[in-house]
Amino acid sequence: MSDDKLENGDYTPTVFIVDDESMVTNALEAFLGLETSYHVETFNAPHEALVRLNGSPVDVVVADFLMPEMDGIQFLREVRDQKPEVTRILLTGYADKQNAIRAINEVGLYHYLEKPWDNDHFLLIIRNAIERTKLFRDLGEKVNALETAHDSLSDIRQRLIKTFV
Amino acid sequence: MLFHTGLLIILAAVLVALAGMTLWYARACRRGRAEIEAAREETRGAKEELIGAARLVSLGTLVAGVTHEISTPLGAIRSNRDMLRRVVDKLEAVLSDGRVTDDEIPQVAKLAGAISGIVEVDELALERITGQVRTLRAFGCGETEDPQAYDVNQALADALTLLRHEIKNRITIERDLGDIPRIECHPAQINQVLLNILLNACQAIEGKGTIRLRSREEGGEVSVAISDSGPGIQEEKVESIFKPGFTTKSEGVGMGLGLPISLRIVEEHGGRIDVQSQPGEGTTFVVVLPVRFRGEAVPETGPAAV
Repeated sequence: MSDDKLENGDYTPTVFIVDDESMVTNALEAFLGLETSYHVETFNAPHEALVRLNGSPVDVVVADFLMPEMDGIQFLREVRDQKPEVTRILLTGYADKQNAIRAINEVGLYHYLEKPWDNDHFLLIIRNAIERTKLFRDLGEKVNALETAHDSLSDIRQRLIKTFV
Repeated sequence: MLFHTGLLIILAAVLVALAGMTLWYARACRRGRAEIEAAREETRGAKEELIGAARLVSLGTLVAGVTHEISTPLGAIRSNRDMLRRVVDKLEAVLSDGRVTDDEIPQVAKLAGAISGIVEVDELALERITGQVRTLRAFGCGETEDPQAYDVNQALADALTLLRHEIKNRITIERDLGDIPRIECHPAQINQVLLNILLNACQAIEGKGTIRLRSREEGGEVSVAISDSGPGIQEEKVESIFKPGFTTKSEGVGMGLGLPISLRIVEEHGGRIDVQSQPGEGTTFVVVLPVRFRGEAVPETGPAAV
C-alpha cells in the first residue's frame, strides 16, 4: 500500500542493491522490477556504490554481509556517514547470522534479511524502509520549517521591541 | 658303579626337567606371539579408526563449505521460482479477456524481460551448483585398489573450489603451476593431503593474506609447494607438527591429525613432505611425489620390445 501512495506522486523511490554475487543482485532487481516501479540500481563492488551514492538520490541501500573488498557493515557505516537519512538493510547468509546481528546492533541498521530470502518478506521490508526514509525526510523538512518559523518569529519580536521600546 | 647309576639318574632327571622347560618355553613363546599379533592387530585397527576420524573431520569442513557455496545459487533459484509464478499470474490476467490490447503490450514486454532475466540467473546458479557437486564428487571418490594417473594441478584447482568460502573474501591466490605429468597415485588420498595442507594455510592466515601455489617436475618427481603468508611456525615446534594430536588451532577447529595422516599417505606413495617456516615470514609445505607410484618402474603395457 505504502509504495502505491509514494508512487502516485511524482516521486520514484530509488533502491541500491550491493552484493558481490551478480546472481543475487540480478534476482532482486528483476523481482523489484516486476512488482514495483522503483528505480533500482545494482552494484557488485561496494566502492562503486559509494561513488554513485555521492550526488544521486537514494532511499534504501541493501548490502550483502560478506564481500571481498569491504564487508557489508563497513559499507553501510560509510553510507550512514554520507547520507544519514538513507535506510540501510543487511543481507546475510545463514552461517553469518550471529556476527551480523551483533554488527547490526553496533551500527544501528534498520533490518537484516536472511539468505535464502523470501520475496514477499523482502518486498515488505523494502516498502517499510522506503516509508521510513520518507518519514525521516518529512520530519527533517518540518524541523527546518519550524526553525525558519522560529527565526522569523524572533525577527518580528526584535522589530516589535525596537518599535515600541 | 653306584656312582655311575646315581649320575645316570641325575642326568635323566635333568633331561626330563630340560624337556619340560623347553615344552613350557615353546608354549609360552606361542602364546606370546599370539598376544603380540593380537596387539598389532589392535594397533592397526586403532590407526585405521584414527584415519577414518581425520577423514570425517576434513569431510565435515568440506560439507560446511559446500553447503555455504550452494546456498547462494539455491536462494536465487528459489526466488526465481516464485518470480515465475508471479509472471505467469500476470500473463494470465492480461490474457483473461482472450486478447492483448495495444496498451497492454508494454506490460507483456516487461514480463518477457523478467523471464529472460530468470533464465540468465538460473543458468549461472546451476553452473555454480554443478561445479561444487563435481569437485565434491572428485574429492569424495572412493578408494581405488590400484594407483591411477592423476593431474595434481587439477586437484589443486578442485581443492580451491571447495575452499572458496574460506578464501574468497580475504585470501589472494597466486598460481605458478608448471607443465607437470600426471602422477600414479590414489587420487582420493592425494586430494585429502592437498586439502589438509591448503586448509591449514587458510587457517594460518588471520585476516587478509596470500597463498602461493607452485608445481614442478624434476627427476621423476612432482613437487607441489603451498606457501602461506601466516605467522610462521616457531623453530621448536616445527618438529612436532607431524606428531598426532599436536595442534595450534583453537579447540574444536582441529584434531591435530591432518598432517600426520598426510605424511603417512605421502610416504606410502614413496614421497615426502618438506616444511620451511620462519616466524613472521609464513610457512611453505612442499609435497614431493614420485611420478611412478612408490618410484617403481611399472612394466610397459605396450607391445614388447624386440
